[in-house]
Amino acid sequence: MTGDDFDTRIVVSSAKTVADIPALMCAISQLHEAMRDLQACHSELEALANRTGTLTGEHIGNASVAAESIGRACSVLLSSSYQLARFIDSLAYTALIYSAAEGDAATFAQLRAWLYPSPLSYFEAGPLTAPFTFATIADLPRGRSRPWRQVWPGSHYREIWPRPFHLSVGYAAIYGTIFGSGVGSDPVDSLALQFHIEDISRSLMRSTHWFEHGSTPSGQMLGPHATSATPEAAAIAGGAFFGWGRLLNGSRRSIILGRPGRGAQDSPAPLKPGPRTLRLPLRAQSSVWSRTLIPGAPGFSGFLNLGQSLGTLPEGMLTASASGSSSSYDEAGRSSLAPESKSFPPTHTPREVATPHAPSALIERIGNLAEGKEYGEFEILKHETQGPKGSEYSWSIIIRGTQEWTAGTTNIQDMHTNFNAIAGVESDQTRAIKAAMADMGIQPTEAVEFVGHSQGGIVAAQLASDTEICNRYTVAAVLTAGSPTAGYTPVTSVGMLNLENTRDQVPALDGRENVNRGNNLTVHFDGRSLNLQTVENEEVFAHDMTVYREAMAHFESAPTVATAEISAWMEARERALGLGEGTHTTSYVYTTQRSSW
Amino acid sequence: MLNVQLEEVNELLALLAQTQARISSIETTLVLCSFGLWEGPAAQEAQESRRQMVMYMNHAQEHLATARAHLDDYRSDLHTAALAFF
Repeated sequence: MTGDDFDTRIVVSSAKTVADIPALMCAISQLHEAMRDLQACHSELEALANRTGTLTGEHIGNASVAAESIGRACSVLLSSSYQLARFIDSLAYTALIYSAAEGDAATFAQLRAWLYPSPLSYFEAGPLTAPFTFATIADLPRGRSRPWRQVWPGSHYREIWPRPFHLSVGYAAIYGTIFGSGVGSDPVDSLALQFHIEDISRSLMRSTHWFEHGSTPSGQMLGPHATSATPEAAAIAGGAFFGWGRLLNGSRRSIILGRPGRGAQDSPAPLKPGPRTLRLPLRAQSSVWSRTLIPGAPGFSGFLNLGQSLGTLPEGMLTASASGSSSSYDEAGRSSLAPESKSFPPTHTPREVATPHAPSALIERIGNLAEGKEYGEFEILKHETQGPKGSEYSWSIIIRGTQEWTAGTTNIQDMHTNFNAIAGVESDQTRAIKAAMADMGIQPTEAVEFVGHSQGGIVAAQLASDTEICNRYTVAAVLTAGSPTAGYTPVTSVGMLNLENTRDQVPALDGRENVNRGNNLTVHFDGRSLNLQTVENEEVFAHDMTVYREAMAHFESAPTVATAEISAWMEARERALGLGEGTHTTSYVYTTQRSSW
Repeated sequence: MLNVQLEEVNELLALLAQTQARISSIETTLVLCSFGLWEGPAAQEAQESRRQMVMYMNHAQEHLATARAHLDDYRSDLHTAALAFF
């Protein structure tokens, strides 16, 4: 596919976006008919050109010219058909994105079944789809005012009878299989899944009694005022994973933060002299504690409840372990860092690197951080630019995604951090990054940006929305790639740019769309249109960093009217960070590991 | 023979006129279909795409008008030849 094909399915949404979904759907309906007419015209003209070409006689010259002209008209109509098909596809994709943002699952399911018909989308559309299943929806009788609603009676069924836990889990499992295999994927899988995630969360929350919430999460809302159940369900799951991790993986007393080394004489110096590692003590107990009883799912309820109970056991019964809710700063506002004398293997030398003027270069850097190790890594870039008053500094904090699919092991980029980040509860990763920022000596006036892929993106959005961070630093921008960031609304001068491939189901794990978030932008795109392939000639996984890097590179190199807001964000980011021709950038990589001592 | 040719040309001209009318109707649909209150860069891009498609279809119509003019000439020539024959 070409860049043009990729441009067909790009939707940038922000708080300023005004959409009229019924009007768009009516337009699509009319254009579908126009498309059929256009194809018929093309066929007729082809036949006409052939017949004109067979005319004979003395004055055949005129007939030949006529045949040629009809042939040219035919070619133009063929191009027009292609353009119109792309246009309809673009409108359809846009309407679905907007529909998902409105949060009306029934309407979304019906639109999807109409625009991207498949057995799955039909079944999801409503309870009475059986008679219509596998029929061509476009050919079914439609009304003029609401063409997408006519085939399904009872569009509000879903709201009146919420989906039961098992059904939602079943759908989520189907989407998980599609995500893993890539088979049966359609361009808005991710948007469909998010409704099922929210359904699962609602099932969980309807049957949960809270005993303790712990600290108030930053950026998310739990409890009766919440508009979404997913953060709260994530808090429950996080608490359970914490407890089970404690039991299965042993006690953890601290996070060890490996500082960048001193390096060679000609390399950029580390920040300040000090030990190779720092120790961040952890508190013992989970911050959330609740009881869940999901009807018909006693095993799952038991898993959650027992896990949370294990997480709340006092210190000593299961020795120490990682907490998800302690602060990086003590009551006096000092960073709670203690020098660590024990050895900690990975030490990175600070080194000068190319200044990431383009956001795609930042995403590229994420891929250089540790993958699949027993320890985690994040990178802090220090940008130094000569200004009128001397050197001026700005910073990029680069965070990689999940590396450990359990909880409580040595790598802090794990499921516990995932759940805590979606819940808005502080995690070991946020604590480690806060500590490293303090260690680097970032000044309150110096612009900071957070960048992350997957879990790294949620953590980036979480940190940028964190009160401690906002009070101590000047957060200029946030860039996330494939991250479920709904609910976070960082207030920054440039704004947050969320890249979401709508075939990637990870951004759907927040259970809702990103809406009404000030100057923050969400860029939806269909990653498959990039046609990226692995060295084995297989399609690149939808969540892969490469998809996001290439998409960002496309926005940088081939801006369009539709991506004008992305271009403006890029310019504002570079300006806020003061990045220029003469900027020098130094990379500092910190390592992280949970420790049992 | 000339009569047969004249009938054939007349039929082709009628079909051509019919197709031109259908394309005009498609153009009208394109121009008039409303996007409602949709605003923002994506809406601007959609309007621009629509304008380009209408422009393309106008090109097609121009080619068809040329074809029609030549077919008309061809018919006139046939007609003249038929008159001369009789």
